[in-house]
Amino acid sequence: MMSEGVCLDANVVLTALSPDECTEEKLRLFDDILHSRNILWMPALVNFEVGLVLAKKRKLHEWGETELSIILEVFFKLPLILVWNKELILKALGFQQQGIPSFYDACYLAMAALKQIPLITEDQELYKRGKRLYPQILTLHETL
Amino acid sequence: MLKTAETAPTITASEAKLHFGEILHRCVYERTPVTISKHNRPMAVLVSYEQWETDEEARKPHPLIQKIEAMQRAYQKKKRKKPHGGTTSVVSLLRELRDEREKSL
Repeated sequence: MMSEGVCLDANVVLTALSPDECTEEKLRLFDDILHSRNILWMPALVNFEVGLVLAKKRKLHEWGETELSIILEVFFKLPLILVWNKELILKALGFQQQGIPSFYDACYLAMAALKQIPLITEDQELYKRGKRLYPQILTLHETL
Repeated sequence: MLKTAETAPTITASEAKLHFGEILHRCVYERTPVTISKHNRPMAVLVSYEQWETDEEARKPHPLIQKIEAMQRAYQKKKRKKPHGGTTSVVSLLRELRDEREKSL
């Protein structure tokens, strides 16, 4: 299924790297991706979302410097290809007009659709609305 | 391409005893694992050392996963010593962030 790569929503990446929300199945998915040298295609805004979530978690005193440092170290070692271009934005705007809740959500869906690869998300709203536009949107459970 | 245990030819334990040299040769030089059965049940798979090592390496979690697991263990230990209440879900944090951005447009 993932031979050509996969697009992961930021919520999948961050929960998998999280010290308090990570589950065995998320680690297994990441382990499979890393062992198979699969490429993770993501819209470049993932950097911004990761940064904001880390800032929020630190503000809430939930994650300390040690956790933040390890999460960032692992994140930047993932086999990522970050994309931000005209095609991606136009595709995202198109999806947004078709009912995708936000431009950010639409960017992940657009990334997967442009590469014709699965998008894995933990967000139920995106999953429900995205499924009718792009059937290759999956929950984590569906990928295992 | 190495053959897997699922595609390995099966021989009985008695045959294995009689033809061990030949089986070992097939495992090592033809890279063909051999399943050894007893009373019609598969009991063992003979594979070359090289293949066993490769398989062992593939079974180990990736070094980055090991790093995350170590961080999780240290975090849980720290949390047990100094509980600080519940945590905010990353999924809901991102949902809020995306919805806020959308509203600001």
